[in-house]
Amino acid sequence: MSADYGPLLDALRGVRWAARRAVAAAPSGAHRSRQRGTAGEFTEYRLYRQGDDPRALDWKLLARSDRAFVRLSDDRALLPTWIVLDGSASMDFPAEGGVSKWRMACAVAVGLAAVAHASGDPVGVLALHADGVWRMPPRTRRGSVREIARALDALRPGGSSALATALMQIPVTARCVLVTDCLGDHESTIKNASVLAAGGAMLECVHIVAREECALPEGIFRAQDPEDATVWRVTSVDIRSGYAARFDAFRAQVRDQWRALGAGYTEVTTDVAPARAVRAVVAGVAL
Amino acid sequence: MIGFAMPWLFGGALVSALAITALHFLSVRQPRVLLLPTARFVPERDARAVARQAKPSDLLLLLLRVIALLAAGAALAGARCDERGARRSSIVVIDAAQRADSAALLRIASATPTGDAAEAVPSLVLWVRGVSDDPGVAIAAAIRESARQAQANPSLSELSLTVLVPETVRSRRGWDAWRRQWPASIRVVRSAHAVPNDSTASVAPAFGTVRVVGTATARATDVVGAAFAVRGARSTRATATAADGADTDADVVVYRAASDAATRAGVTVLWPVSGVPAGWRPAPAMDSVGAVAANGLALVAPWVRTALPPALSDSVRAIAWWSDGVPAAVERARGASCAREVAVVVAEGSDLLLSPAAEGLLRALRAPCGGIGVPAPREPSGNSGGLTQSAYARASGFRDSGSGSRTTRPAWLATALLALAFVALLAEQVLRRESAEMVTS
Repeated sequence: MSADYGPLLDALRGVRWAARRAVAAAPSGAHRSRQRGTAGEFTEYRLYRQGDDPRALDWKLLARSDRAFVRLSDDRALLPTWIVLDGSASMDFPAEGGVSKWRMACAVAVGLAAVAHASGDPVGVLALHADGVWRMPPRTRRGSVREIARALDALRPGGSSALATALMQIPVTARCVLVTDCLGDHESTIKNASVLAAGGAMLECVHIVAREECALPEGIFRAQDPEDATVWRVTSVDIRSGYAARFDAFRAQVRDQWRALGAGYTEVTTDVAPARAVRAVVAGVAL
Repeated sequence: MIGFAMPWLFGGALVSALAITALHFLSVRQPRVLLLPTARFVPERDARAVARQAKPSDLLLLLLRVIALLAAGAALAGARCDERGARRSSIVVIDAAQRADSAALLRIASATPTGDAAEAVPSLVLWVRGVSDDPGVAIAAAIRESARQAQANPSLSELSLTVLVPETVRSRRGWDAWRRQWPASIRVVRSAHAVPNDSTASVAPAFGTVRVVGTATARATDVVGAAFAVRGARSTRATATAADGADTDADVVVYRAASDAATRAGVTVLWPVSGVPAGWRPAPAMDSVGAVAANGLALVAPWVRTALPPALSDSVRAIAWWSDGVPAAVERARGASCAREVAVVVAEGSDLLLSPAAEGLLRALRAPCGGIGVPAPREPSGNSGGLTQSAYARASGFRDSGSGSRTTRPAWLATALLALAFVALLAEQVLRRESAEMVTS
């Protein structure tokens, strides 16, 4: 495992990542399942309705109260977690000096994988990078987090974003965490994410924002979109406020879009400690 | 040194190059490129701004553009690399027959027309045949050479002409005809004395004593002897003793009968009363001729030509001519002396030779060997106070105003310059495209 992730993983030791709602999966795990059954852990009584299994009747209670109740108990299930990493060219910013969005995304992904793995959930990664797509199906075995960290270290961001396409590979029964800057095919991603959400998938969006993006640099530059050469603007001092307003509006729009889908949304800037960012994502709170 | 046939055209190219250079001090620069993923949120605005800068931008591009402009301008302006820059030239014309005395003659020619020793004018010596016959050929040759020099050297502005002539020449008709064609004064130098320009020294030939030896059988007074006698000559009859005695005290001895006796006289004239002189051919048929001309004078009479002259050469020269140009008298050089043969038959008792018009022929016969002809032409003196022409002729008068003078020299220079301009423009295009690609990327 890369030495860079050691402090991060130490900081996340003991953190658990509970599902925000009951999961539909059958395998036994740490998360509350939608299924009600005869598990040992009693939850509640419910009046018997026609069609219920008579074996679920609590006969002693029926004898005491002369009323037919069914004994209910919750199942515990596993929640496969997919971490989809945006490795487009826009994530390689800033290229020099400071923590790039890609490095921050990798740290958050490794942290989330470690937290999910510690909860006993299988963790899979789908990383888009300059040379294509790196995919690791969800695993629970030991060393998965280390494998993820090593693989992400070897990847290099580049190319254009294809998150929308990658999302279609995620099963609806899984928890899907998108770590992205939302600057690529964002509209298509939102569209496909809505399909996943409608299918029951639990979506989390970790919006990576570089601190350097929040304000335009001093001086006059020809700002060039790294993913689209046709998009370029000229920066100057007098338009910094206009830029900031537009960018803030965009981030607010992105946040609203994800929340409208019922997904979790966390904006993470590159100057935040990765462990803190992971805790915020897990807790579902804003930084 | 480089000159131009049309300097104003090159000046235009130079001004254009300066304007382009000035434009390179104004920059319309693209700002530095910053890869910013959120570039789409930057409000759009015009990014161009013109600004002066201390150093010219795109030095290589500037260099290529200036080279292309100047090369094309130089080609169109008719650049000339072979310019020597001489603004004055002096032409000295000397008779080709006097090459033997070239050292002395060139010393004469080295003096400048104005006499200013500090004014160094390169001289061109033309050795022209026939200057002693008629100096007009010297002017013609000088005009031809002047035109060549004026075409070859556009910076040439003035030309002077010096002609070295003997004391006497055979004719001045050519000189008189050509003189107006030279638009300045001509420095005429007597080659015998090397006198300075516009000399007023006498050009009259030195005449010696004349003795006419008549035929022994002549009954009356010989017309030739009478003609010379009128002009101070002595006449004797042809006897052995008389002839021998005549040789001792006469510079010119005129024999009216065929004689092959050796004489000590400087000039021997054989003028037979009738018949054909030795070496002459009889004329195929008697033909009449209107006049005999010599020394610038024509003696008009119904002459009958009885003999045709021998072939002329350096040693056999004509001294008198019939009106149709055929020599009527020739001079044969015999070392320091000479013999003159006259084929003009004068009727007995004729007084034609007594007329003033016969003076030309008689002077030609009495003239020293080689000094036959009219006095060499003179040019008005610069010190005479009269209206005199400039010593230098304007070279522009000799230039051809046609398109030929507007070409480059050497001729391939225009092609080379245009090729250079083309290559520079091509390189500029490539360089500009690369720069644009770099800015775009």
